[in-house]
Amino acid sequence: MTENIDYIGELLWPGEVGHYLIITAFVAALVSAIAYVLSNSDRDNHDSWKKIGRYSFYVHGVTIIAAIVILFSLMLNHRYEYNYVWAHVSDDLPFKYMFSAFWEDQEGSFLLWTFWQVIISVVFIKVSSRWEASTMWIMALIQVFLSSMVLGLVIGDLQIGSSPFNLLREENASDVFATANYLELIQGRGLNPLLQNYWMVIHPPTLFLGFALTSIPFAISGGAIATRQYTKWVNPALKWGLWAAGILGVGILMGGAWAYEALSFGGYWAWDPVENSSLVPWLILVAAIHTNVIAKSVRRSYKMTYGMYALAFIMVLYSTFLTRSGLTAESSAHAFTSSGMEAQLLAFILFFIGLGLWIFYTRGKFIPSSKEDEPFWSREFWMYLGSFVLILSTILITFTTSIPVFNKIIDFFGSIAGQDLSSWHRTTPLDPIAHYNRYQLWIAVLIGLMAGTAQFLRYREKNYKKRFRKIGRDLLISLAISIPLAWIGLKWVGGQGLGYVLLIFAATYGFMTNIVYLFSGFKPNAKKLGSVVSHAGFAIMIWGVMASGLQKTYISTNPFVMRELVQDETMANQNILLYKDIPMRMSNYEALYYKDTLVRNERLYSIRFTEIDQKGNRVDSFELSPSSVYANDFSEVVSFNPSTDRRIEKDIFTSISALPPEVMNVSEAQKREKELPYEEYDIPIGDTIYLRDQVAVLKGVNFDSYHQDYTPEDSDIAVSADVLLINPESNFTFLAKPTMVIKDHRFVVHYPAKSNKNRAKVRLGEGFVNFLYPKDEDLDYHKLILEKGQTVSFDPYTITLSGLEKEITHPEYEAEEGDIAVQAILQVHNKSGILVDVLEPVFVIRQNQPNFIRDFKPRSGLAANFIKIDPGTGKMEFMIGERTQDASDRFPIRIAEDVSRSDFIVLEAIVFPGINLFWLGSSLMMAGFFISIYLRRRRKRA
Amino acid sequence: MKKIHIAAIGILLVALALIFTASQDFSTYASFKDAAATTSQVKIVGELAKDKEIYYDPAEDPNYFSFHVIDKDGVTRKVVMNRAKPQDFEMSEQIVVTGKLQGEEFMASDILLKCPSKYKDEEIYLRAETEE
Repeated sequence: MTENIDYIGELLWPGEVGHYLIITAFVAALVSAIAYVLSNSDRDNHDSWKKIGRYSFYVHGVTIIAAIVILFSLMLNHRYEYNYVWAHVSDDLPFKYMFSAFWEDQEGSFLLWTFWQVIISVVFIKVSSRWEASTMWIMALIQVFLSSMVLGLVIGDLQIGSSPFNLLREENASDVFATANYLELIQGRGLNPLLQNYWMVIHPPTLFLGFALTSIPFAISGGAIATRQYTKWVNPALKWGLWAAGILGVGILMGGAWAYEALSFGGYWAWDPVENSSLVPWLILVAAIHTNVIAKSVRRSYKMTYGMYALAFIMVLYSTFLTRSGLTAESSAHAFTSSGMEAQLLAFILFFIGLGLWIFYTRGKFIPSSKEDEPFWSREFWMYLGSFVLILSTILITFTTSIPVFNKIIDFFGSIAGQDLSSWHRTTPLDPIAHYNRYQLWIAVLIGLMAGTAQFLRYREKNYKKRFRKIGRDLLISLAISIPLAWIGLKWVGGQGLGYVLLIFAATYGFMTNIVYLFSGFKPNAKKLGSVVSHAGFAIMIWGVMASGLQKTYISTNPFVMRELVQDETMANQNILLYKDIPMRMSNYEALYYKDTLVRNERLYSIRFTEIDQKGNRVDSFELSPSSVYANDFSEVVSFNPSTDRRIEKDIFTSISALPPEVMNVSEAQKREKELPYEEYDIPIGDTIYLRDQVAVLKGVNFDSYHQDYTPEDSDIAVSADVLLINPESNFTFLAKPTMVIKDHRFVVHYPAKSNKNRAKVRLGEGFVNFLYPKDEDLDYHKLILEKGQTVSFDPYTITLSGLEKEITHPEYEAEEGDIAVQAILQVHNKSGILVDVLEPVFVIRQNQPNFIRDFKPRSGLAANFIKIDPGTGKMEFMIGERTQDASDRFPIRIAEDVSRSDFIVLEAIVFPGINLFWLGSSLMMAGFFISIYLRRRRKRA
Repeated sequence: MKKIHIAAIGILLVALALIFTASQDFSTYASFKDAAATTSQVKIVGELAKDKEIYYDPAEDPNYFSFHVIDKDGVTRKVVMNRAKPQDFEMSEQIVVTGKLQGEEFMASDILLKCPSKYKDEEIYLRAETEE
């Protein structure tokens, strides 16, 4: 069995160290949590417990970071004995994608998340030291659960966590592990080509930093309440809550930008379960920030703020559960597959739900809450409503996203009752985008209407009639500007129905009220800036969503070319066929695909677009290069990356939707090659073949230049033919260079040459094998006796024995024990003294018997056998063979005609008008959080 | 009861009402038989009939793609999509098609494939290349 093998070259200690580091990190987090809890309950020894807690936490942090460093260096050094390294790294993976490879899978992304929690906690201890003891016990508990996910401990049947340091041979069964030096035989599987993208380098860390930050307002508020500090936490919680919402929001936007820019989804947001599950915590955080501001200003809603912060964190855990349990694999394009850690994830969620509720029920009655009702026209009341609307939005999103979970729960009850309840199962909506948009539209309308109006209201408003006299003018101005502006907007985006009318009005009104509010009171008020920027940003974003969504048009249509049998017109005209070098009209553009270039594993298709106005004038031109991405072994195309022409008012988005089958897949190409109707012509150099539509001339056979796809290697024997294809009608000529290669003196590889314009394919006949590697009976042998350094004439060449070599490089030689082997170096020069070939025959004495390994070189057409060494005289005997005359004057050339073209692409091109309003608005929305953080800090200092 | 509580309950009621109306989007999977009985869109889950023709010839028409699906009752029908053929189509274990029946053919507007993950359960690559 494999256990008994002493494997060669394995480096095992870093994995063991890494594994123990993680165990230490887990224990240290547990110790830290207990010590911090004791520092809160044992007031006499408060400081010493706190110190123990803090230092244990530092131990935890250092060990986690050390484990990350070890894993990362294993990846950098391509230590494929480790499963995680093998599964995500390959020899050719560039350094910048090492990071992507690190967090591509469960273990690495858990480590990344744990890392951010450590960094945030350390910063928190430094800047908010007053809250250290009350907060850090919860943070340490989170670390206990997070580090348990990478623990990799097996206790009986129970497995806790999955270690990133597991060995390849422990995780996989393969015959290759029967050999001790298996490491020399294997290759890393490499990073999924879809993830070889710079967004994959920056998006996950930002998102996980956002996730990690979401835990801290919960830990601050929950910890403070648990330690009977019922109100003061609102200040640090708000500060950290703003950070969390800002960073998480940026992380989500990066995901949208990635989807839009690099994946061929054809949009920035698809309401995918994975996208939704990061959006939901963000929405709850935003709601919590609103109630937190109320709590700070009017000393109420402490409970609600705590509840929302707790919910935001729990939804982060729930989202982790959804995306990592494999439950959403059916409805999501980019969820992880099942990890086998569902139970552990579920325990993680349930523990913190339990903790959150426990804090609430044991301490809730002590949290001050205002007895009196808030006035209807007070700022706080409308901010409450705003938060509730956000919560409503999250309820609707979560419900639909959770359908697979409901199905699982139904199955669970079914298994208890012993009944098949699968008829109760429901599917996710047929058209998820329409489904979510239909309901979220009304949320956006409500937010648009409230986002500006509520800004004008005052806290604890008693005399709203007087207030309205004051602000009425501002609101009326906003309304007066909004109505015509919204009308113009409606003309532009072209929405139909009440919903869209209200939405564009609400967005416009929300924008105007915020702008007017900023400048009301005669001077712009910096204090208002953060909130105004965020709310106005939201309104701009809605404009962008409507414009780019409703006015999204496919321009890759050509009604004259499309077949008539298409029944559904909306779908029919999405793709257009572009042949290389043939300009094609699509909508009001002319598209010309003229070049393709291979960059690493991506093939870029250069397309020139020329915009044509109604009179037929060329008004504008630009270039785009959508691409196809190959699998790491180049066996097939695995995805298409879009390319977008970005302008201020619109984007022109292009993506390839299909390529010829033989380009998509190597095995398909081989199948088609076999089916081609090749005809073989046996002709001498200079002869012409008369084909149906054209003629072909065999210009020559050569050993110097080959087919473009072939890169020569040392032990190759290769030949190519120069076949000139001439089309007498168009006068189009093409020099085909079909090539044949014998690799390692063992297999034959063909490189047929194709001319798409001639619709012909040229290939060397199998007879070329004999030309490259002739049988002995086709050679005339002559004996030659040489001393070292001696040169003799061998018409039309001269042959020199320039040396002998103990190191055998001949590909046909396989060393055996007891062999005595010598390789001769025979230089072949032509009459002008130019080196033509080097023949390296091998003489072997194996078990007292002489053996010869022939060397043949096709350029000179000479073969050499090394048959005798006379130790006394130092003379060596060779048999030199030359081709018999008639073997070299005719060549088998195979040509197939009427070959279908494979130089086309199927292109999808979409115009997204106003999409920059989306990016501008959403970025402003996030910028608002950071402006608020900055202004609050400055105010505090002043 | 405070106004804020009324508002909260109001929001919850709205949420329930919306979920209730939204639930018509959460369909059950239909069969071709169900599709024949209705003129509205249905969602059919099934398997690709691997022995029947999968037709996509982009050089002929880049917007025409047809294949055969066996639904959960074992009925096989031709499915037509006016779109390019999706990646890894042949590898799919399960297919969900959305659309309606038109005559004998099922016109699909959307398709969802459940494929075995390409980057899991894969053979270990050996360093030696395999050539023709």
